Amino acid sequence: MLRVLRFLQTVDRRFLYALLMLVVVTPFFINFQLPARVSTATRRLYDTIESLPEGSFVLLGVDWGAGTRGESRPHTEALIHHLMRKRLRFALLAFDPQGKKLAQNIALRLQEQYGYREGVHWVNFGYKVDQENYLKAFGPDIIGTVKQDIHGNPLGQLEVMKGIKNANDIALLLDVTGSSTYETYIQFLQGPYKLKMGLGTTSVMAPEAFNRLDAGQLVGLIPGLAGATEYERLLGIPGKGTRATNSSNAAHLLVITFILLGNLAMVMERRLRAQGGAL
Amino acid sequence: MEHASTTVRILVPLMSVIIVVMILTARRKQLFIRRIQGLTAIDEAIGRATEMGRPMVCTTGLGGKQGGIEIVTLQALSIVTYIIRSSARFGTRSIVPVFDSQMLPVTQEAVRDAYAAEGRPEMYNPDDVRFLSSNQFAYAASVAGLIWREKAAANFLFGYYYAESLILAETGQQVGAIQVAGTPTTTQIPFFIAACDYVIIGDEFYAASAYLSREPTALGSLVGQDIAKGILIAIVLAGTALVSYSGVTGSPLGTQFTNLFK
Amino acid sequence: MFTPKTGAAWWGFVIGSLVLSAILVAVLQAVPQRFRRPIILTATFIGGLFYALEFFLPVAPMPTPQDPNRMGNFLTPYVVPFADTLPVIAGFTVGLGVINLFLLHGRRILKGATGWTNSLVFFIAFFLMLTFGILDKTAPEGSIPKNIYYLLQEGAYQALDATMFSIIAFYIVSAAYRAFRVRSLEATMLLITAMVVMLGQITVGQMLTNWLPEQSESFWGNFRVEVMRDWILTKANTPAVRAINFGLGVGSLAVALRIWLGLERGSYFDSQR
Repeated sequence: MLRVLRFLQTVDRRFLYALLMLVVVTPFFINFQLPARVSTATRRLYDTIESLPEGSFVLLGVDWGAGTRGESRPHTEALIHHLMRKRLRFALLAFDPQGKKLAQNIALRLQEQYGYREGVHWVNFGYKVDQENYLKAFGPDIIGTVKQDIHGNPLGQLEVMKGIKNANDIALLLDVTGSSTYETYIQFLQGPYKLKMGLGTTSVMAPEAFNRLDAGQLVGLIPGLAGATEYERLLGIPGKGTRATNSSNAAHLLVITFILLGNLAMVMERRLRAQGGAL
Repeated sequence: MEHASTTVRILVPLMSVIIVVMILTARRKQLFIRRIQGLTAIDEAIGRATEMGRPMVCTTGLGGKQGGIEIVTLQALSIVTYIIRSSARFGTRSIVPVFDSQMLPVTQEAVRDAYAAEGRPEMYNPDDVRFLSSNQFAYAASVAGLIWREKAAANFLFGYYYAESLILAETGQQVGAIQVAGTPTTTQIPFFIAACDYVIIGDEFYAASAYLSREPTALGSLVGQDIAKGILIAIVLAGTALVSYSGVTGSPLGTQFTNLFK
Repeated sequence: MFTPKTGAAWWGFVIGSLVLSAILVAVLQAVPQRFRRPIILTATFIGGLFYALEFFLPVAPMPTPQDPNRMGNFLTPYVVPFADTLPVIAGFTVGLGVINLFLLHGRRILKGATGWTNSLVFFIAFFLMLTFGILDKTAPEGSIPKNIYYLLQEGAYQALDATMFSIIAFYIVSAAYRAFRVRSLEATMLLITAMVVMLGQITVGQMLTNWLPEQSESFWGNFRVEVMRDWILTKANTPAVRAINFGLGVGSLAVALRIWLGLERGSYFDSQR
């Protein structure tokens, strides 16, 4: 008995890793959808985009790379779907070198579905360095600071930039990130220009971002994979987030199960020892 | 905020003056600071590494969101310098991986000075202060590899950490290193708590150099910080009371007060 | 001086800046050790003073054609040009990292140290990425260099990056399994909180309390797992994080002041006697 209880408290990590791999991979081969409730934070961002008039200009920060692709790509995809569906103009801006290309691919893939054209309905500002100082210059003069899109086209000549001079012309600021770039956006763009701002962030960064939501600096927030699934539900498009969420569910359950088993075994062992029972 | 509001124009200079005054005061008289468990563990970790004859890995984190030389990274380097000075006395080797190339010369100089200050300049090995990568996960992979290969006896993690925190701490745990971590990145504190032996939480990180070095500048600054925090707590309490009062009576005082900070 | 230059003027400024930088670096190298500290302190103080004054001095309307509502003071127009010096200074140090890597791995290969093959892999990877990264800029679509770069970037670099991030999932499982034990009252509270948040995060967890009425309909709705998760995140976690951030903000101000005013000694500059 004691051996079993000991084993449950000291399961080899390699065994846990193997089990995790199994429970994460399996749901990708079984197509099913569990009912998900939409949190207030996600719904608020969805409602904000819904309320924007057609043709409004949205700045979408794509500050993520391959590392956080699992969570950030569903966020970016869901948001671009929504922007295109609502016939909003948007610009991609990356402070992560990989974000420029990864988001560009998503927008290119989705544009046909919605009859969008690069340069006319959306534009990619490309990858920029030194976010803080860049945004200081960007706010008062967008065209003068960005100068050209990723293909080298002069920004002032693109139809998508018609009537857009400074940050006051941005109807909504969005940032999809796995880091704290959104804090700099709040400090140098959202705050000074009183912009509405939404955020898509990884689960691990979300607890800190709730501060900003509570303070009114963010209008809405998509937290991690769960948030991505919720957003896809709101859009009615089950995408990457929904599929990955099944894996995430299974992984969470595995962790919970082993934590409970470990604790149960520990408590039982203590009891047995206290009773001086059959050890 | 691009420019200071009236409240900020008053509060920040006020807190700055308090901190500077306390630094100057500390140079004349001894100030008291409480014991910080995580920091006393540093000496224990150095002792363990010395006994085992294995090296220690001291990381100063990733740097802030802007990259380059950051206040937090300099603070982390200050703690690492103390660790190296202490370990130099026992001849224990320390490896300092660097994330940002701008931090490399600063780190090299600080480590070289630390050995020299203990009269052991020959212990400085240029290969032990090494730039690894400015890419987050390439850096994480390199440091994890380093911890494995060197079988580090102690692992010190100070500075800014993001998603890679658990990779570094769990690797250290797997090789049986005694681990002490301190970061201002609140989202990473839970991971460090799960994987490290001791964790310095929140602004204890800024208290670390004062606690370790006992130098008057750092001590005075710490006391000044506490007074400044006292002012902030008083403002929060006053705000809570006024907003609650306004909620009950309908008085505009609460809104007027909160507007001062917008 | 701070307007974009083109043609000969651009070349003139580039060459002039390089010559000036070289002279500056040479002069700084020649300065005796005891004078370096005052130079560093003065440069730090001037840099800090500029930003402090720009931030604190009163502002007045300063409209531009692009931004008619712009506010600023006499220093505001220089913020962007001044900030542009930072990447320039950073540019000087980029080579330092590469030199350090080359020296370290070069020595290991020459000495035939244990694991020298890893160092060789570093050199191969470095030059492969460098060569095809440059070729990619000019190569036509579908060409071999472009395909190789795609393979290296998307097939290797990004995949490796994602792999490292996903390793965290494995480590979270082992760390959580080891750490969450009911050893004390605090640890038990931590465990319960973690369980509620984890269950609230996943749809399966939410299904456990789906039988309870909605929060808006009944008091019992407060016990739905996702409602409890939201309460923990916004009402318990947020104030705690804010309190920590207050302390960190003040701590950061103190360290910044010490460095700006040259009060910081004993760590990076010299020992305090």
